[in-house]
Amino acid sequence: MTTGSTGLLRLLVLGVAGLLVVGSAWAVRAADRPVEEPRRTTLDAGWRARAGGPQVLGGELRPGVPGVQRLEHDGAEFTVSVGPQQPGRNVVRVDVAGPHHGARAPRVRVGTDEEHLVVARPVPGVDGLWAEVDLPAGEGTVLVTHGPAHRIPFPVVTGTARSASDAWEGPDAPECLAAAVGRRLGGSVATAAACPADTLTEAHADALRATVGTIADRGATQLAVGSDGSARSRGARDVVRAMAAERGLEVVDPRERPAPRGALLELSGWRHAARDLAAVSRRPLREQPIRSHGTWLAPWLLSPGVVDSTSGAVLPLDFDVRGTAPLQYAGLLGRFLPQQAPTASGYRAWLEETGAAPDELRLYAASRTAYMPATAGHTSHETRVPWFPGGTITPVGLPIS
Amino acid sequence: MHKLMTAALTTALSAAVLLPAQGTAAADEPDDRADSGPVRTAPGVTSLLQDLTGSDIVTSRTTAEGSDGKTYWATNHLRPALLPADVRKKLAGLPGLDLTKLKSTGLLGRDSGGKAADDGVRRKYLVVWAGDNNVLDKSGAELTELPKSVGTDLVGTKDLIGPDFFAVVDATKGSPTYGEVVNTTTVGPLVENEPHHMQYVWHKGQNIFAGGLFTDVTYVLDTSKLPALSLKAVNLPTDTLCGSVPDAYWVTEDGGAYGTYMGGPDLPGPCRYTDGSVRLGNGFGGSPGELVRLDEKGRTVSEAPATPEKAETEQRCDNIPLLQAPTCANPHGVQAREDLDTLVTSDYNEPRNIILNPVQAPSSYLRRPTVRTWDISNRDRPKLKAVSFLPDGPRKGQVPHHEEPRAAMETTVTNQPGNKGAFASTMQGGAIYYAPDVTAKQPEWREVFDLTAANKQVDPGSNYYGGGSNGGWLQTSFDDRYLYHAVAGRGAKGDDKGTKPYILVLDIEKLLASGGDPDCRIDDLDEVTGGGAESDCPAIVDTLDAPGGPHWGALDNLELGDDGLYRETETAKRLAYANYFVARTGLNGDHRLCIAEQDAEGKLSLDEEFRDERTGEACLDFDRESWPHGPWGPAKPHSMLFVTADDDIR
Repeated sequence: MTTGSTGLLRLLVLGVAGLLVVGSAWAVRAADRPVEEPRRTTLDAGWRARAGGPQVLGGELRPGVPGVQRLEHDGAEFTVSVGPQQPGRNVVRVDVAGPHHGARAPRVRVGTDEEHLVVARPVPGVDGLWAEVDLPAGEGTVLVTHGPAHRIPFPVVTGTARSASDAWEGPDAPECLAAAVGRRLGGSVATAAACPADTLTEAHADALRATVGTIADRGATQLAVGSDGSARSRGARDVVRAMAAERGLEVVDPRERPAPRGALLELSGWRHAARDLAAVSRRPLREQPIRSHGTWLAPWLLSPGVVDSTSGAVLPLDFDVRGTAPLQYAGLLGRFLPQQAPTASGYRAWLEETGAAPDELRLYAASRTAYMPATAGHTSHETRVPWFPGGTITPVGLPIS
Repeated sequence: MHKLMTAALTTALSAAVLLPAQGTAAADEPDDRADSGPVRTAPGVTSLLQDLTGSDIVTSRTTAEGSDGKTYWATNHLRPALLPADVRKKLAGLPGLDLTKLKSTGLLGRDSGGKAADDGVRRKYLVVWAGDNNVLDKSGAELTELPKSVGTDLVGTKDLIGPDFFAVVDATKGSPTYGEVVNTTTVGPLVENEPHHMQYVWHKGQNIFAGGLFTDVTYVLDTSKLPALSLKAVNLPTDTLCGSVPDAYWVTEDGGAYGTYMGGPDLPGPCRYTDGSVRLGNGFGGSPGELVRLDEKGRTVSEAPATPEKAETEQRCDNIPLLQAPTCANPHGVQAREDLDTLVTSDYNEPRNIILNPVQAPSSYLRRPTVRTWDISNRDRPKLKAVSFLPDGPRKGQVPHHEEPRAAMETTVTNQPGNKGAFASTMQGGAIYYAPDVTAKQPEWREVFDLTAANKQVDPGSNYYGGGSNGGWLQTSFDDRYLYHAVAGRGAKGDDKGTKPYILVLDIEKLLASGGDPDCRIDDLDEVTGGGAESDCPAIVDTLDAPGGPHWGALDNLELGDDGLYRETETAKRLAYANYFVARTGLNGDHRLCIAEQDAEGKLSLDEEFRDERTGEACLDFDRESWPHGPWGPAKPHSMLFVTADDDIR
């Protein structure tokens, strides 16, 4: 790709040439263009991306279907996922691999043109770098920059329909995208519809009832419940409160002082759960609350960024990460999207495409099992463990119901 | 050149045509295919690969039902061409063996071919518990092209997760197949076990007890038909509710075993042990750990709490999350003196090491400074007898967990009837401790050696500071003359050039001869760097350079008698060691298995004849493309045992 002023000149020349070549095609598409005319820089970038041929998951971009693309630039590979890829607010995930990533790498910025770039940042509860962009109807470009002289354009085809789910515009957007990518890997070409956080499924409600029952059976008297404003979380809180009342468990806010026999059950989405759990973990050890009956997570919280925010948690899951299907899913990601750790939501979406049924509901412990101090000279991990980097998800109970 | 071309062809073919197992059944049901992982090799391709490599593989499978009602299996992948004729004949009796295939190899008759001479010499083997090093161990930098077509048929176009396995290696010095892998026994359906320890020494008639850290599973294997292994039982997480993360085993004369479960109860909160007592724990991988008594079939006989009911506060014991009663009980090393009805365990670390967690505030006080002694007069009801906090030494640690008592990974007992002592070593503390009488109500532990002295001898120009030297395997010789210690070394960082890896041999005869009141005690800095001043202190006999980072080892307790049968010996003349710890901790190793020989003066030398069959270099390298069970790539060898078939030992 281009660098410096020479590179910019080349970009301009290529852009003009590209306009000549694709001019007629552009005219044909004009009827579908958004009301807002794209800027010249965006046009150039879009043409270059199409001409250069970014890899596209599934071979082609489809309007309204979240997409994943990859382009090599200056020795680094940029993998960009965009969802819902519909007009309006979209979430963009950027993964960079190669010599220019890491702590000293220039910041990655994301936008639709040079004038509207924002820094892509980590988000609690999930890996990758994240940004939001507003996309026009029809088609456009997501422009990714990597330092002052590097521009990597990715075309997007948004169609005209707007997203049916508000979750794409909120803290649960990364989970929406993970599920969408899971569906896409499974072969789905459906437009992005509901997000996992839009509703509490009956399976998840059952899992939460069973979890509260187990906590009560183990002698806890108090249950601190963490939740947020999503429909799923609100629904989960109602289910948990009802079950807790039935079992004689006092439900309290997590900020309250724990009772001698207390547990925490986290029902928020990835972002809020990771933020709240990490806030406790970061406190000096002896200032952290003692919860004798432990920390328990809702089943959708199996995301490395969430389970690594606390020390040892229990989740109800209807799959074993060592089962055939979860390993296949982890293997798919490991091969094609190795920087995206598998998550429960992504796996569930993929599994639905395969038509396979979930397993029995069991309790699993999510725990680091890397019991070696970060000794000098041994700090470089060669590993990237799926589901829980540096740890394990192990079945610790018989089926529950 | 031919070998290289064959290897390249093998790799190319295997990468191209590995097939996925269909549906979830493959994970739940045993099958007879060559590899036990969730992704299998097409049978036709297996044959082709075997033709190319010129070595047929014969498989046999044994199964065991877990307490969850599911079937677990171990599959042998034997290389008949590497076995003597009389061993090959015995293969015919293996359960599940494809006899037709064995016959088709043309290797059943005497002098019918193969590489192994019909020399009449009985074979001894090293059984190595190794983990598959798979795509999930790799960095995310290796990107492949995004697929242009998506759907369920994407699955399995490339091998991904391989089975963990026991490598059976010919350890018969002088054998034409010395150092060659004659069998790999894969386990399934569980993958990603993170294979860890077995028992310390194998004795005739014993089953092998082998643990998986991540799966919280203990495998029990029958060795009587070596080089084939048979699965007898699996002990699952739900069979040991009060403990997790099994570490090591000690097998008793009755065939049962004690297992140290370093991590806390499966679920956070209260757990009721077999004796009816209850402890509060902070969950899987946390604290307190426990001691589990297993019968010879791997069933849980009893779970015993490793922590007393009152808080352990003599030195700081952190737990994350906090426990109402702090405890250092995370038992790792375990050895017993059945004649003294005493068992010793050493506490290493709360397994959920938060040092590596970017979120959690670090704590050096997760490294444990404690050793526990147990009354095992009732073998099935072990009872905690004493908790001993190892005393601090004179060396100032650069960080608190480099203080001498921290991270008491291993313990080893003396063996001779007149001795009642035991040793303990600290992985980060870099010290060796001794208690002259572990039957005492409260054994008295003292520091008797600081690894600073050994580091200095190995490389006087280095920063020989002993803290963080990463000592692992600790073992007395059976005649109580020597103490062996595998030291992986401290990596370089900044101005610290670190320390080298080596196998240390100490002379402990005088120390043991001093009986119940030894003089030796490391209590000043001169003794830290120069060894103990008292005449009965351990003396360095040798340090064997061991590049690659040795963590674990085993003494060869089997010698060939005049009658052609093996027998146990108290004067082991060699040992094996492996360079691997736990990759996902950042302390890995170069994945080689080596043998060192010991001369009459106690000096060690690398056995140059124990060579990798592919490279010709000394030591067996587990980073290889292909195994008898398939082209699964590099593997991680953690622990090993010298073993023979039942018919070959007196």
